[in-house]
Amino acid sequence: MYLTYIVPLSILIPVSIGLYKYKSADSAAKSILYYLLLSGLINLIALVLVIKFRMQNLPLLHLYTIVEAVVILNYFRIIFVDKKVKRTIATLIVVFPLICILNFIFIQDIFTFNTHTRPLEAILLTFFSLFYLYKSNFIENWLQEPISWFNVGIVIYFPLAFLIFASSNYLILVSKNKELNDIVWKINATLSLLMYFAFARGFMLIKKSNDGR
Amino acid sequence: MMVDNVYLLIFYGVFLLFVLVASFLLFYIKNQSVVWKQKRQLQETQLAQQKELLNAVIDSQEVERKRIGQDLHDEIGGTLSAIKLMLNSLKNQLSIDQEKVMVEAKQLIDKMIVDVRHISHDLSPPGLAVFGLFTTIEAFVSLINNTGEIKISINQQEDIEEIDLPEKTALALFRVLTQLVDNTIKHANATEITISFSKNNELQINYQDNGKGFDLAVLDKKSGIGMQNIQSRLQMINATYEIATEEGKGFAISILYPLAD
Repeated sequence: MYLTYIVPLSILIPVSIGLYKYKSADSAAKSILYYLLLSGLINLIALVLVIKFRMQNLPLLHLYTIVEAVVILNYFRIIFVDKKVKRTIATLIVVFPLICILNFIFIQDIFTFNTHTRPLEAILLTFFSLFYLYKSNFIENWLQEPISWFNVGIVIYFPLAFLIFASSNYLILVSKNKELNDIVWKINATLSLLMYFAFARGFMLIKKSNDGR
Repeated sequence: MMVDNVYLLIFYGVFLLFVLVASFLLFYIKNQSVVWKQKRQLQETQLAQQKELLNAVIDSQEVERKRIGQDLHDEIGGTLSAIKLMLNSLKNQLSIDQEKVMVEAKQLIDKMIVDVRHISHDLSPPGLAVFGLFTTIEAFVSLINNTGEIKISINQQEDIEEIDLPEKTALALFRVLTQLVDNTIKHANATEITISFSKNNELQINYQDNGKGFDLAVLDKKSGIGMQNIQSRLQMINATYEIATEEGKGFAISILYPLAD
């Protein structure tokens, strides 16, 4: 229940707020919204695949990793001011999907968890959100800035989810401890719930007045 | 079915840990340096404020001095001259005894007129705006030399009078020099003072007396109002100075005022 419906559906909270503020949102906020929309869509497809057709949805995770990394990296490319950093991120946006594709073609089977690339993605996103925090300083009304909340969301989810990503093959395919597995995925879901709430807060802080024009 | 490269995962784990620890340290260091910077800025603003305050005090002091000086010169000086004229009109109408008193009274009035003029000139040097610093200093020096108390000599480069100093600067330097002369006369038991002016990129003023000097450490512990005045006036016009003195070896100060070209 919690894993299948509540958490996946909770994505609707930030999405609806984001859509409501869409006109006033800047491109950074918009790319977070796109991330939520794409992630919701892929989750939905995964659910349908499992429930309706009883199909393995792991290949989708490989795709999901690429989409997630590209959209969030693009978000970072937008919010950084430094040209060099922007260029580095742009390179990563091209290189990371290539690594993913090479990984599922040659190294990891597409029907296993992509433990080589997804932790790498988590590290990259964690690194950039911390790096942004470092570069941008804490300003006086830091908690009133939408971007602060987006970054908080990313920093809440990815470093901890890293552990789960890295150990997912072991947990599911090797240890086969049902209880432990359950707990781990609940933690993962809760973390993503927190990330969604942080994003929702970020969207709420977008001011209606400046219309985005 | 084990497709994980465990070494890669361990490497990732270590790397993530490194990122987290490093960022924690970096945040901490950055935060510290921000705190230091703020402290320094605060100190700087405080210093600037103090300087401004001092400027304001000295400025208003000068304005007040000028006003008092002018009033003294115009009002009291004028009235004294009028009294003298009135006394003159009494001439030949008095007995010999009375005439004697009258002559003394007139002498007293003359002395008063001179005194008032000196006081008012001291309060606001009248030539400074018109003739500039160097001429005014020369006039001041010849006044002191005439008293016979001490001998002051001035050395200056030929083109020194071409320097056009802002009035505030000229006044500040004039006050500093008169204060220095005052100090020498009051405390140093000196017989000679040398003042020299020279310029290249900056105006350099060297002042030296042959008095008894003092231990420089005394200046650090407590500087009298005179010395404080000198310091703050020089600070006000962004001039730097260096003092050289020792007990029994006279007193010397070298003042550097940067000239804007």
